[in-house]
Amino acid sequence: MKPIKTIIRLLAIASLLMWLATPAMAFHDGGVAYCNGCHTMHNSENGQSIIPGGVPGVTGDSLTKGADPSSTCLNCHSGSGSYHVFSTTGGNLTPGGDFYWLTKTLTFPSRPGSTTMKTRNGRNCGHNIVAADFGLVADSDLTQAPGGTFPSAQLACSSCHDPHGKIANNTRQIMGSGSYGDPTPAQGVLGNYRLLGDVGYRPAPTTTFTNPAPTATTARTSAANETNSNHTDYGRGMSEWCSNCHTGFIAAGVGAHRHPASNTATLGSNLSTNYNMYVRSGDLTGTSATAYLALVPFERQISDRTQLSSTTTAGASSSSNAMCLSCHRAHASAFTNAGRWDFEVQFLVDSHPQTTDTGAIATDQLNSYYGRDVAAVFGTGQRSLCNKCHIQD
Amino acid sequence: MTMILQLGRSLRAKRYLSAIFVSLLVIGGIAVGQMWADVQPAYLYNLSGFNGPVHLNWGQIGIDQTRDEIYVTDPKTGAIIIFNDKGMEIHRFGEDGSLGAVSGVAVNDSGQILLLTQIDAKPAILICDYKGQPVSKLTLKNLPPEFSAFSAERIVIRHERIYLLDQGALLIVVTDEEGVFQFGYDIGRLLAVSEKKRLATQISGFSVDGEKNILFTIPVLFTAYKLTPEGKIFSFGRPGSAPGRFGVVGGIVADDEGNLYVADRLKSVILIFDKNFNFQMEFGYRGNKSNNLIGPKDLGLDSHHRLYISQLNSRGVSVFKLNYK
Repeated sequence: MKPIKTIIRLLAIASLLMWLATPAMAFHDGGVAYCNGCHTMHNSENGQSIIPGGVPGVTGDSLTKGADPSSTCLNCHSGSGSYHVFSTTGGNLTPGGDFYWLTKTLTFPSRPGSTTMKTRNGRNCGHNIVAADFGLVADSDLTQAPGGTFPSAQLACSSCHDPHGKIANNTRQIMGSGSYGDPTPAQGVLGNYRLLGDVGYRPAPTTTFTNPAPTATTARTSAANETNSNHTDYGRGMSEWCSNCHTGFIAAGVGAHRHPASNTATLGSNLSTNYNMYVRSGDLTGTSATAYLALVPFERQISDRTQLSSTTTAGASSSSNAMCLSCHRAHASAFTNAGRWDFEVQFLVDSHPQTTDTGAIATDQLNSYYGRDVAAVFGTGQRSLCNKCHIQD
Repeated sequence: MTMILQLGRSLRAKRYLSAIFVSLLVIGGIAVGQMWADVQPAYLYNLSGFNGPVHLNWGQIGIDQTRDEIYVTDPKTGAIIIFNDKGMEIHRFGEDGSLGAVSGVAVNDSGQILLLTQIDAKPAILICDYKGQPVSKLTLKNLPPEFSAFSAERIVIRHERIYLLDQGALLIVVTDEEGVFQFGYDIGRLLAVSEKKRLATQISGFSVDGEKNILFTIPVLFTAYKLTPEGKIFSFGRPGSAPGRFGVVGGIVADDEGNLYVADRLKSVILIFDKNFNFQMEFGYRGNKSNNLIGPKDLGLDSHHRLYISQLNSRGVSVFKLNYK
């Protein structure tokens, strides 16, 4: 009888272990993933340190398995398509952008037709996360976040995304991702949009977030390439959230000499009308039902993620507002300052990269505008996309 | 009262004994597994040029079995670098980016180099001569309707067939050397992956063994697969950190004995399984010593039992000799 009980107990333990080891389709599922997916418990595998040159048992930064937090993230998220954010082609056309652009050094004429050459260094094109395994290094120009004090040397994926997916003051179970506009389940809650750090999140000793994660809904990874009808639909709070690090860049208007960007930076009737009628330079025949341009997104001032739609083509209303991501991408872009378009040229067709640029590959030009042939879509006379709201062209 | 305490102690002791027994089984199994491994890898060298090891990250490896040459893509420059059977660079082309972003390279029996790249923003299979000069494009012919949107991202040439993988769509197409469709597999359907989850599932490692089995891995499922020519699919692997478990799996190849080699990018090891998927051993581990590995991803195996491993941290491609008992 006793052996049978022992066998039953062992089988029960084995079953429990097998259940615990069941693979999950979505690694994060809106909250914390399984611990040893990212961390080593004892900094040792088969008696050897997992840190290059390290000593077994002497732990490294946060016990992560990569050389640093971002290298750990990129171990999964480096690649092409779907959930990847760092490709070798610039072909990840996700709303946040492809860290590929940080690795590009382009040389081209300083002006169309000029013989004077200029160089665009990738480090000026996005958030320079430190990922030693992948050759991504700290920004050598800026030692701190513009408008704030976050140290560039500590910039990592986890500076913005909370890998543990915590929600401020939450006491309920996180049941799934909060990125896709799903309703809150009765038994718990959904995670923050893109696992963005919430109030109280402390990605560096000098920085504690005081603004909550924003409301937004995005396309599922199976259709992640951004288009005008497949995009992130922004609700509210994005600029406030960015100001957790870029404190000095929150909307202040004319007095602070900064472009307004916040929940209060509403477009009003004039700018929203502009947005909706503007199709391209010289073409103001647009209608509000189809006016949405993913290259110039805005927030709709909607707090309920289920009321947002990643497939809507609807334009702005007077209560919509400008935000940081109206002009910039969160990760990186082909253009300086992570611009959604090239801020350095008068006409978009003169944007770089171009196929003739030294350092460019054949697909760079098309990928820089997310698959758009600028001349075909907007015409050769298209000026800066600032005009989508301001119509000065 | 005393009896209850004694009973409690007795039950606790049994639990401890059970736990120790289970632990011994696990540890013993691992130790025995490593002792019994029929193959032992030994570090040889890194693929090099005249200035030392060639530094690149996560290059795609293609082995020309006929001429014993190794082809590696450099994702950063777009170059394709060719090494001889001693591991020395003998030629490179495409470093000016003119061939676009090359995602795969393979060589056919006549020495033509096939590149997966993009031309005018559309996926293309470029046929180049032995110098890397483009001579034509390979067009896939007679694709059935269910494969009409097929976009090749990985390529293997073996058994006079071209094996192509669409990583996101979970589709595999096999053609003859002229690109004429022979047969195809909808891996998503075979594994019952819903349409919604298909692109997020993504295949990583991809190769073909000597018995025409197609081998592949799916990182988010922590699983490696063997697809037989008859369409039967076998899988192995479980998530975890312990030896034999999968972190983030990458490349997979099989040797002539049927042993399977699986790269684990997160654990920084190569895991070896026998032909029955029994774990044998793992080697590498993150570190800067020559026999360590950092983020191993793509694998290649030549006819001299040499295993080629592409890595991160500018470590290029490490080469290990597989010694059999």
